[in-house]
Order: sequence, then C-alpha cells, then structure tokens
Amino acid sequence: MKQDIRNLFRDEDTDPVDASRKQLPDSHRQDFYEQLKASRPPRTSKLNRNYLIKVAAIITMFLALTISLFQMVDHTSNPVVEASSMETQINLIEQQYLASIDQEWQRFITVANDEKLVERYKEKLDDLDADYKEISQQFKADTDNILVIESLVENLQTRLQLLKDIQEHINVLNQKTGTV
Amino acid sequence: MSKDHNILIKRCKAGNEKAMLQIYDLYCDAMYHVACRYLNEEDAKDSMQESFIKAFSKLDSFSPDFTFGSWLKRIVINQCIDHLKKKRLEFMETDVINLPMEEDANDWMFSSEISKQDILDAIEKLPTKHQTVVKLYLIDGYDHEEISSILDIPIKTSRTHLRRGRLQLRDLLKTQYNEARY
Repeated sequence: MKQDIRNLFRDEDTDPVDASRKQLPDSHRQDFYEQLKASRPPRTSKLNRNYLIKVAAIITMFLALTISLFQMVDHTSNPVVEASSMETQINLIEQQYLASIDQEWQRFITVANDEKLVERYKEKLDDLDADYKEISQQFKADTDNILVIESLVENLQTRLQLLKDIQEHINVLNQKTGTV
Repeated sequence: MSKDHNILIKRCKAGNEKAMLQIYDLYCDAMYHVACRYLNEEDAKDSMQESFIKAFSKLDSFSPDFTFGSWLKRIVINQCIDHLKKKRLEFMETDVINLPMEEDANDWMFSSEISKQDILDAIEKLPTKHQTVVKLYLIDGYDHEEISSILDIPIKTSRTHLRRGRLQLRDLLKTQYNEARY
C-alpha cells in the first residue's frame, strides 16, 4: 500500500495540539507583553503629541480668526482704512502721471534730434525717479504725512513739466529755424 | 473567520494592547509550532514573538482575502528564514545547476507503513537547504512560487532542492523501513 505523504500534512495547521508539540516556556506571555510594551511607547506618545499639536492649531486658528474678524468689523470706521484708501488713490494718481510722463518722453525722443540733449534729460528724469523712490519709502512708513504725499506729487509734476517745457522749447526753435 | 475575531483585529489596528494579547494567546502555540520546524526552541520563541510584533505594526497591510492565521504564518516563516539567513545559510544552488529532470517529477507516494513521525524525523536528517524547501512545501503547503519568494531564490532552484530533498527522503525512509523490518 502506498500513500501520498502530502496528505499527512494537509491539515497540519489545524491539527489539535498533540503531545509531540513543543511547549512554550511559562514566561513567554510576560516576555511578549514586555516586547509589545517596548514596541508601543513611541506610538502612544506620538498620538499624544498629535493631540497637542491639534489643540495648539485650533487655538491659533481661533485667535487668528478673532483678530481678523475684529479688524474687519473695525474697518468701516478706522482711520487705517482711510489711509489704505488714500494709498490706492495715490497709486492711481501715480499711474496716471507715470503714463503721461512716458507719453511725453516718447514724444520728446521723436522730436529731439540731439542725442546729448536726450541723454541729459534722461539723467535728470532718472535722478527724479530715484528721489521719487526714496519718498515712496517714506510714504510707506508714514502714510498719514501730507508733506510726503505732496512731495510725491510734486516730483511727478516736475518730471512732466520738465518734458513739456523742453518740447515747447524745441518747437519754438523749430519754428524759428523754419521762419528764418 | 468569526465576527468576534474580526472585531479583535479591528481593535488591534486601533492600537488596543489587550486585543493584541488576546490575538497572541489565540495563535502563539500554533505559530510556535511552525517556527519550531525551522529553528531551535529558543530562536523559535523569539522569532515567533518578533513576528507578532511585526504583524501588529503592519496590520494595515492585512487584507481579508487571507485568513489571519495564514497571513500570520507567512510572517512567522519569513522571520524564521531571515533568522536562518543571518546564520549565513545559503539557499542558492551552486554545485549542481542542471540535473536532468527525471520522470518521477512529483511522486510523493510512500509506503503507507511509514508514519508521520518517521517522515518528520527523516526530514530533520536532510541537509538544511533541502530540508527548508521540503518543509515549506510538504508541511506548510506552499507552492514553488511562494517558496521562491520566501527564500528569495529562483523557482527552478526551489524545484531542484525539493526534488533532491524528496529523493534523499525516500532513501532515508527506505533504509529505516528495511532496518526496522530486518
């Protein structure tokens, strides 16, 4: 008679514990519990830390929300708003001026046929621009100072006037040479 | 798997140490038995316990496609094999690469007078690299694909080891049987 010995082991794992099985030492459970404990602490402390981080995040969120809400409510009557709207107004004016300055500059370049003249005026304008940047810094630091705002506008006006004047001068010269 | 068992595993996933100990109590004897096939008693106990720790830490990768027992058993076996490998046990076939495939490709028919214990005793006498493959195949019921992934060897090598192990087993049992008889 022959048998397929594979069948002998088919139910190996579900077999009831037989006498031939080796028995675990008595202390195995305690051993394991200690190992399990040792493998766990980082995880539990991590959980605690996560919890703390969450609580901290919620508190900061709450603080941030109240502050921003407070500011929004305050906005309508606060001089800060006026200042910031003043800032946007200045920006608008500045852009208009810069646009017309640029326009005049282009016109000046086409009219002027003297390179030295163009160079000299470019220098003047660049100087004024540098001044303007300095004053803008002051304006940012102190948006309420009317003197600063005035000097800003003045600077822009000077540039524009400068360009207009020189163009007029060139026109007069051209007319003169034309009539001569 | 019973409903209670599933609940127990869910609790383990949530990090409940009590549930982990309950799972340990349920499976430790069977897993120790498995580990003892590959390692001596002390190493078997250590590897078995390490496997439980490992299993609990990667419980998320356990899919209900397997039974929990077979999933755990695979971890235990991998742990045991790792332990064997640390002892620089070589599973790769280096000496004989190509033995001609014999006709008795998978003949496990042995005399029915041979008992399970005889077979287990004979397996212990095999050279370790053949022994491991024979145990994985015959006792733990893994196929060559699984064995090749457990031992990290090509399927072909696993087949060769198994065939050589089986032939040696036949020789051992034949002499033993004859000695007993005469």
